[in-house]
Amino acid sequence: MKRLLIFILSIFFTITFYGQIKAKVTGLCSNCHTMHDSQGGSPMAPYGGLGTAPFQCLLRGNCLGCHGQSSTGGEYVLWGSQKVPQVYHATEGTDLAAGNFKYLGTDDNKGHNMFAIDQEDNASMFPPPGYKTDPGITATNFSCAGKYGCHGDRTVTGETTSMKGAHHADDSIIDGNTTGTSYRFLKGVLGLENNDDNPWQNASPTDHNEYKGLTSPDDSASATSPGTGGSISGFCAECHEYYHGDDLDETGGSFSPWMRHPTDISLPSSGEYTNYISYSIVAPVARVTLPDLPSGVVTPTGANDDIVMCLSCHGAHATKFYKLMRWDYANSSLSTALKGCNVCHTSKN
Amino acid sequence: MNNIKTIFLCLVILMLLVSGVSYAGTYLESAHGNSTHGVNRKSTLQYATGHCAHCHEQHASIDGTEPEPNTGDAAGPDKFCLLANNFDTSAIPGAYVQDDNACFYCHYGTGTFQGTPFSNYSYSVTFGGNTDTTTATIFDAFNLTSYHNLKDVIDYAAATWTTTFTTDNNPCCTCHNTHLAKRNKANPDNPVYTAISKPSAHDELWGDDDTERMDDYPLTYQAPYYYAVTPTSYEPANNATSDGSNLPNYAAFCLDCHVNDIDGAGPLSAIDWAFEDQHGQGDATAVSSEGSLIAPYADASSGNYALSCTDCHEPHGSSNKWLLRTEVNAKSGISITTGVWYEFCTACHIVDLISGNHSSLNTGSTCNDAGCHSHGSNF
Repeated sequence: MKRLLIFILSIFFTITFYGQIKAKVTGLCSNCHTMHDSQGGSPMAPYGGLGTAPFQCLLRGNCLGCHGQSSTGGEYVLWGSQKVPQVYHATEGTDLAAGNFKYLGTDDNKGHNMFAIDQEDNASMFPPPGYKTDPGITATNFSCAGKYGCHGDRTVTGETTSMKGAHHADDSIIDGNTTGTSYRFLKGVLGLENNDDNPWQNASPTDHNEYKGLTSPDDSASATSPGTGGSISGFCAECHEYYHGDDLDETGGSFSPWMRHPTDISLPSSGEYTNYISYSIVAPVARVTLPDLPSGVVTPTGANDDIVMCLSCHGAHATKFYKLMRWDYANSSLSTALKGCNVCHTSKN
Repeated sequence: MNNIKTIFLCLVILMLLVSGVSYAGTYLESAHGNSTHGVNRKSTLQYATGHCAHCHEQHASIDGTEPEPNTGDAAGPDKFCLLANNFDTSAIPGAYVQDDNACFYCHYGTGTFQGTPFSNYSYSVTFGGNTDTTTATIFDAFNLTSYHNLKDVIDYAAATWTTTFTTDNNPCCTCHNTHLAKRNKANPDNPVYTAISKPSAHDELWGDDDTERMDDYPLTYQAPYYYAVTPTSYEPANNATSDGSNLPNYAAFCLDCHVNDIDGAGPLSAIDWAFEDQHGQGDATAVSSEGSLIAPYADASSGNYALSCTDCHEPHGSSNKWLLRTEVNAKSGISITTGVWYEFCTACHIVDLISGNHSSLNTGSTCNDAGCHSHGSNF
């Protein structure tokens, strides 16, 4: 009987943690690296994106070269058995949780205008709106990672070097201490990465990423750190601090009435907010205590699993909607335009 | 098997219905949330009419710039994420400027931020049929001779209903819930479209339920005539309904505040509409000979009527003293700038200047100020 119990528990834990270890890259080294950038005496064909070989860290491409290959496909490509998420892909309707940079092709207002994807002259969009400390990001240096991007170590200037080693890290425990052990390689950010049947997606109310939230904006956040709390909103505030912080003159402090829409704040336990009890992937919430598995439950008690965050309204990369919104906020139909607002503001429909 | 299917189908339908009830909101049914007539700020026209973003700025920034209004008190982010500072407590009553009140940015004449300019005429015009449309906006009304002092209003509300209001709130919200208020002016015969909420019950409309109308008030309500040279129809809808079934119970609404002494030693003493005042539930039969009534009040019920506050008063402001209407019971052009109220009172009363208590008086005598008639005193 004891052996049977151990056997069953072994299966249970294997299934439970299987998804947690897949984020670490597996497969042939040559899938990603080239030793001499030479094959048969000719340079290796790079994976695409901007830039020319050879690439730093002996890579065969830059960020978008590997993660923007699916010009005709879906949200991931297969390298052997390894799924590689595609932040830029052709197929709509199966976007990653952060969206799809492809939408920038039709409207510059739909996403973060990284230079690798959007080379139009968008100088007027920089510095980032809501910045308190100008991060130095411009239309021509806005990158995926590093000082002028989002992923990796934002104290390191180079896009590739800021990510150095991250893909090889054991990220079975997301602690935010290194780039590799941070949520989605956003250094310092915590979260539960959805790596199971629909990896990198917010597929359903019970199949989604879990984002880290706090009950008040993190005073330890800075222009290069989300703060010790590791919240996703604190991370956004590295560039858009006035949209998140607790300055009295800009956000009204930590208490209502807010002067900008609050983030890192729990839903009130009264009034219209009490109707938000089932997790919505249209307007998701963050958690103070991250669950071990994605949860479909929201409890607006003003305490733990009901945290308003930047990603409650916005996609991180790009969405098909105006201002990276998760729903069509600018739709001419009012009920459609307010669809996401009404997830929390349930009496305003 | 068919029974099981039927039961299952019924359960699904019931679930959907109940779900709809649980989450049903009312903003899209409100005047501000109306997809045709609702809010539509001219600097945020990328959003649908009625959209939250016309009044609330989530980041006080679009494309890196705050949309207009963005100067004066409206510059930068504002409390409740509003388009402008909610209310300037240093504003000068009766000399308000647009920047003093976030509501004034749209409820304003030339210079309104609403995409399509609009009017909010006085009660006398909208529900009384008066033809003088000089006062065409809410802003205009608050800058007339008499008005509800907006700072006093919110101060009183914040001190009285402490769990509902604070001094951060907009004074207009004391009487209106901006997310619920409907377009009564477009539906004067149907108080389901009421625009008011009692401050003691801010989260619901007042007048939309049939127990919240003047025909439910003790004693009988008789609506005054709707303005015409030869009047035959009644307020508020210019039709034959005169029993108050189409009018919110303004007596109960206004008394939410005015049942109390508003300003201590000031003139706004408590109004006892239930017993003392003859225009309310007080007994008027004993003194009816001194104020004979004219149509439509001169009938068998004369002396037993109770009035609505709006029969005599404007809600926002008036060119007359004490927010008195300029048109009452089809009598227009009433001007009351002193305590001489003869022109006003004779809209409903025959004042006998030959015999009785008024025999020594004339049309220029003082009725109110330092006179005989006021709320709580021969009134």
